[in-house]
Amino acid sequence: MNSPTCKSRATVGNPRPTIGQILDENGVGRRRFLKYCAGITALMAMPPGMTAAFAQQLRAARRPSIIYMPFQECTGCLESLTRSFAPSLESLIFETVSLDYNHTLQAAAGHAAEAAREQAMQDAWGEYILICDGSIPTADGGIYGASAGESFIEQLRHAADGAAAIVAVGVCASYGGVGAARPNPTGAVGVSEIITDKPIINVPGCPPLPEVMTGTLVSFLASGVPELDKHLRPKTFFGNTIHDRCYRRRFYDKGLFAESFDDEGARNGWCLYKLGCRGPTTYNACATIKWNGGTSWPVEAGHGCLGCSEPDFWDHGGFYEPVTSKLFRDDGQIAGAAAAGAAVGATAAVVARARKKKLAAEADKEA
Amino acid sequence: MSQAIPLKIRSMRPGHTIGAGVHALAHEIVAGLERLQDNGESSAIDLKSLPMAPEEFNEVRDMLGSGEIDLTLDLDGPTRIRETAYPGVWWIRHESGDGRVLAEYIEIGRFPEFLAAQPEHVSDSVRQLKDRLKGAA
Repeated sequence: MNSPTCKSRATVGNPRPTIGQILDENGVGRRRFLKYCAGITALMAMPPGMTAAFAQQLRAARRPSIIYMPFQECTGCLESLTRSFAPSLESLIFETVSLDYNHTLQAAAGHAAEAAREQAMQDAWGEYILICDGSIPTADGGIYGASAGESFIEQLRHAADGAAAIVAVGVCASYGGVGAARPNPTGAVGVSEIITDKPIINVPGCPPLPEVMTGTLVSFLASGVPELDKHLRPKTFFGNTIHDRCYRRRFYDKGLFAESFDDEGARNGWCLYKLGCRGPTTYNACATIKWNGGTSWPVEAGHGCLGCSEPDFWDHGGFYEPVTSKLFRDDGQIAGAAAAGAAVGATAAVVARARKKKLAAEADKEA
Repeated sequence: MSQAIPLKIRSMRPGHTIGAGVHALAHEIVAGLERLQDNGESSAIDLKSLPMAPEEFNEVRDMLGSGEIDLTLDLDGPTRIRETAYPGVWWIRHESGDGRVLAEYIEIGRFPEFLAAQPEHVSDSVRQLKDRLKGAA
């Protein structure tokens, strides 16, 4: 579905205005904008002293066109993303982003919506940012996901062809996620397994933190593709494990663990490692940015991390088994040392397995 | 009728923090003040990125106390700039209109960078004032 006519249109017309021009037109004061940037640089763990330089870069960036393509998804990522729009200050900047296609949010439907997408892509061919949401089914020629008479694979390839960069939001678009969970009947994969010739930024999570999605976009506008880790995640948001940044880490270091969700350790706020917290092997920013406008996050609410920003998180064993229990092979040998503090964890895993066996035996007896 | 689950996370008693995170932060602030004193170099510590329990956060605030300046700017939500009891150490908190904390950091410097006019602001001022003078002439 290559569109040579689209490419010929890319250089026609006026260049898009800069964000600074739009802010000035709307009477947004520079200090208000500086404040907005202070929030973004804090999210990205940049030194606060760099805020002014970041603001200057962002003002100079051109207003981008965004094409948001949903594939095999549940709309949870979009629900999360829109939660970052609510503060009026953030909406300032996002009013300057042209969200040219999102079939859930836009009023148009059917042929009108698809025509609008084609038009928007033609107008900004080679320059727009493509946001992908959901996995792409590849089994049986991709017939398990289609809209407007095209399979998702065809739609993705066509849209990616004219994109300057692709942002895969959610664990599904990043790695296949829930759709790719065993036995993966639709052959679901992430965007980067299909598109290999464009810059791709993965923003995984189920859903991702809204501020991480918007922060990644703004960071891209200001300074291009950020530094990525081996899973194509921005290091600014995914550079540390949940465990490293967790306020309960000190209890882990002291060997103080909750053994159940209602024991003394749980009430004292001790480490949730033995209850299956995947913080040690999960890279994300929940521990610092938190959820619901910084109100709290799963571990602060008393539940372990599920590891939803990691590839194949759905197939990594039970959510209530210590992470190191997955490091054991059937013969009881340690298969790897992915988790920090493997020795402590190994003991916890053995204890948890013993407890699980005991409970199973009791259940059998009762039956 | 559903009942709330009585789940409580007990706060740590003041002065009984495990890991001495507050203590470490205080040392970092002292190091920043020494750099300011010796080289005039300003620095900042982002409080949102520190893995602190809510009670520890309060401890840091209590430790730093309050100084002479406490001003609030209305910029689509309050921005509060407070001098702490230690001159040169500022506590800055940016909130959105709905009360969400956008950024919160300790800045160590002679004055908060946020209040300073940026170079491009100054260039605009030069141009605008010159234009006005030309018009007046």
